[in-house]
Amino acid sequence: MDRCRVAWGTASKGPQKITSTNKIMPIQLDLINFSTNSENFEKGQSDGPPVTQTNGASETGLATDVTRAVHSALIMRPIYELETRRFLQTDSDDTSAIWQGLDLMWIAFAVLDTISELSEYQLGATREEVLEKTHPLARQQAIASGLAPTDDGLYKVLGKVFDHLVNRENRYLPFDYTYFDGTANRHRSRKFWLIKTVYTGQGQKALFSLTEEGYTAYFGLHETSALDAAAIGNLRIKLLIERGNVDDAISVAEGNRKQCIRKALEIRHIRRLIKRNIRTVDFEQVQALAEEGIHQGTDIQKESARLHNMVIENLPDSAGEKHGRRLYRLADLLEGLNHQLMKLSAELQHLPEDYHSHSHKLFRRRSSGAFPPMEQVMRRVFAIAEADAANVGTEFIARIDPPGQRPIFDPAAVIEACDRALERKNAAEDRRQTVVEVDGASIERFVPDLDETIMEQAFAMLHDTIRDKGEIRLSRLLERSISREAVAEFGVMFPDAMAMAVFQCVVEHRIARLHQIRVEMPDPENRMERHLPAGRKYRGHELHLQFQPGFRTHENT
Amino acid sequence: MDKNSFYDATRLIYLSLAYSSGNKRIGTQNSTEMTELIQRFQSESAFREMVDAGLRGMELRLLAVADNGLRLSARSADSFFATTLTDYGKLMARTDLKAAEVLPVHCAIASAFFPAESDLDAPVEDLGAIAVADVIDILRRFARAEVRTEASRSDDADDPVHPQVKTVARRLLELPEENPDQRRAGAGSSWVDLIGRILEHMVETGYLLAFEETPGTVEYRPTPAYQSALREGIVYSFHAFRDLVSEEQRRQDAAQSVEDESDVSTQ
Repeated sequence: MDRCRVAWGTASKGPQKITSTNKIMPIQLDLINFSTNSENFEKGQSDGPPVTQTNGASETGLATDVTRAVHSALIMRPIYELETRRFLQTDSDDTSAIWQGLDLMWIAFAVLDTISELSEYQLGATREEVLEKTHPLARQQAIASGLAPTDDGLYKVLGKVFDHLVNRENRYLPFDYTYFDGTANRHRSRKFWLIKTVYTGQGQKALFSLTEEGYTAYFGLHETSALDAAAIGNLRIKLLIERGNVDDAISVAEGNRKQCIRKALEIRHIRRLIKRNIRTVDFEQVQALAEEGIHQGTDIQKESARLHNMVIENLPDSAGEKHGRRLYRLADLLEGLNHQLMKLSAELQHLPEDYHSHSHKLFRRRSSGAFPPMEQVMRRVFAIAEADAANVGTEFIARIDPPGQRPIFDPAAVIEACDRALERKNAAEDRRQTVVEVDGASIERFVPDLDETIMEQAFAMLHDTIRDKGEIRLSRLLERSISREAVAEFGVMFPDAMAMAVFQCVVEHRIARLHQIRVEMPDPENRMERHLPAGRKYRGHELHLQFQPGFRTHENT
Repeated sequence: MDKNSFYDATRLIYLSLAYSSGNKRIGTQNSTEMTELIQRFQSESAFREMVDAGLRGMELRLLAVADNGLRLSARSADSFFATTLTDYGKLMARTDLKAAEVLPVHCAIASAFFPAESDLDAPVEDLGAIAVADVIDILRRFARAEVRTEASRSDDADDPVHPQVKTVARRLLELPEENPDQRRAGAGSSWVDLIGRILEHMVETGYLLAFEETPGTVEYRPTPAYQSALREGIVYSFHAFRDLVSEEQRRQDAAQSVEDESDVSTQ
C-alpha cells in the first residue's frame, strides 16, 4: 500500500520536479550519467529540446519545459484512462460494483509491480500468473471498501484492467497519443507500450514484460537508466534514513532491487548476443558497460553497503519494538540489494571477458565479395520508408519465390464445377424436400407419327414382298407402298414407315436378318428421288433388297 | 533445330515450373523424362539456348539447375508468374503496405541462416537450423538500432525525417511481438504471425525443411534452392536501396534548384 502511494506521489509530482530541477541539473548530470540512457529511443524524446536557457527567451523555456512534461506525462495516460472505463456488459451484477469500489490505479500499479517482480526469474509473466498474484490484493481492497466480491467478478475486473494496460482492444498495438510540441510548433504523436508481449518460443502462453515506459510509469517519471535510478534510490534511502522515515526507505530499497533486475535483463541480452552473433556487438559498448560496472556499479554497491552498515549501527539504539523490526527489515533488504549489486557489477565487468572468449568468431572466413553481407542488407532494409519498402518487398517476393501457379481458364473445368455444385444440391437432404408447383403444366410427351403397329405392318409387307419376289429395287418397293390400296389399308403414313423400315435394315444388321432381308447397293452413283404422300420426300441410293432365307427367328419362336 | 527440340524445350520449362512450385505429383510422374531433358540441357548448347530463350520469353529466371528440374523464379513483380502477397495466405492480403513487413522478415530469416557473406556459398548442411526465436532476436536488434540512429540523425542534421514517412523499423516496432488473441477474428497480426506465415510458405515451396525433434519447437533447415534464390533476392534488395537513395537525392536536388530559382525570381 505504502509503496504504491509513493510511486503515485512521485508520478504526480513528476512534471514539477523536472521543471524545478533545471538549476541543479549540472550537478545531477555529473552524478547521473544521462548519456548512458541509450535505451530511450523514442524519437520525440531524443529530439526533445535540450535544456539550455542561453537564448533567455522565456517563451522558449516555457515551451520546452511544458513539452517535456507533457511528453513524459503521456506515459501515465493509459493508467488514468482506466477510471473512465465502464463495465458495459453486466452479465453478473457485482462486476460493476467492484469496478466502482476498487482503486483501479492501485490495481494497475500492482499489475506493473507483479510483472516486474515475476520477470526476475523469467523473461515475462503470463496473464494468469499476474491475475493470480493480484487477486488477493484486489480482494483485500474490495473487503476494505465494504464489498463482498465473488471470485469470478474480481477476476473479471482484474482481467479488464490487465487487458486495458496491454491494449488488448487495440490488438496489442502500442498506445498512441497526440500531443503538441511547443518547440517545433506542431502536433506529434507518442507511441509506447507499458506492458508488451515478448516472444520466447517457450510454452504456449504469451509472456508479458514491462517496457522502458512501463518501468518509468511505475518508478515515477524519471525516465532514467537502471543504474542511475539505483544511484538516485541510494541517495533517497540515505536521506530518508537520516530523517527517520524507515517505511519510505524500505519502499525505495524495493524499487532499487527492481532496477537491478532491469539491468540484469539487459546484461543477459548482451551476453546472448555475444555468444550467438558476436559481429553485431560493438566492443566499445561492451567496454562502456564494463566501465559502468567498475565505476558506477561499484560506487552504488559501496554506497548501499555503507547504508547497510548505517542501519546496522542504528539498530541497537533504536527506540520501540516496531521501529526496530522495520529497521531489521530495511537492513535485510539492503543486504540483499548489496549482494545483487555485487553480482551485477561483477557481471558487467565480465562482459569484455566474454567478448574476448568468443572473439575467435570474428576471424571466421571472410566474404568473397560476390554478395553483400546480410547485416548490411538488413540495415538498409530497415532504413527504407514503408511505402518504398512495400514496392521493394513485392519485387523481392517475386524474385525469390518460385513461380506462382496461375490457373488458366478452361471451360470444361467450369462445367465440371457446375456439375459438382448441382450434384451437391442433389444431396439426401435436398431430395427430401417436397416440390410445390406453381402454374404447373403437365409435360407433353412426344408421340411419334410412325407408331409400333404401322412399323410392324411395314416390316410384314417388306418381308412378304421380298419373299414373294426374291429381289426388289427400293424404288419399286416404295411405289408399291404408295399405291392406293396400301395407303387405303394402312394409312397415309405407310410409305414413310416403309422407307423407315428399309433404313433400319440398312443401319442395323440384326433387324435385316430378323426379316430375312439383305440390302445391297450395286451402283453408288445410281440415286433416286420420290415424293411420299405424307408430304415428305425420299432421296437416296437405289438399293436392292434381296431375300435371305434361314434367319427368321421371329417366326420360329 | 527441329520441331521435336522445340517440344522438348517447352516440356522442360513446363516440368520445371511444376518442380519449382513444389508439385510432387507431376514430378514423379515424369521423372525419367525430366532426367533426360536435364541431361540434354547440360550437354547440348543449342538446346540450352533454346530453353533460355523460352524462359526469357515467359519472363522467368533460371536460379539453379538441380538434378530433377530447373529452379525457376519470376523475372519481376509484373511477370505473370510472379508470386504475390495473396500467395502468402489471407493474413497478408489485408493492407497495401504488407509487403513492407514481409521484406524485413524475409531478410531476418536470411540473416539467421547466412550471418556471413560466405555462407551464401557454403554447403547447406553446414548452415544449421533456426527457430522462430532467432528471427525475432534479429528483428528486435535491427529495428531498435535503426530507430536509434534515425533519432540521432535527426538530432545532428537538424533536419528530422518527415514525420509522415515511417521507416520499416518503426513500422515493425509498432507491432506487438506476439498476439495471444491471434486466433480471434480481426485480432491483428504480430511478429510471430508474420514469421510463422512466411516460414510456412517457404516450407510449402520447398525452400525450407521443417523438423520437430523436440515437441513444440520447430526447427527449419535451408535447401540449396533457397540459397540460390536468396542470392538473387539480396543482391536485388541491396541495390534497390541504393537506387532509392540516389533517386531521393536527385529529387532533393531538383527541389533545391527549383527553390533557388523561385528565390531569384521573386527578388
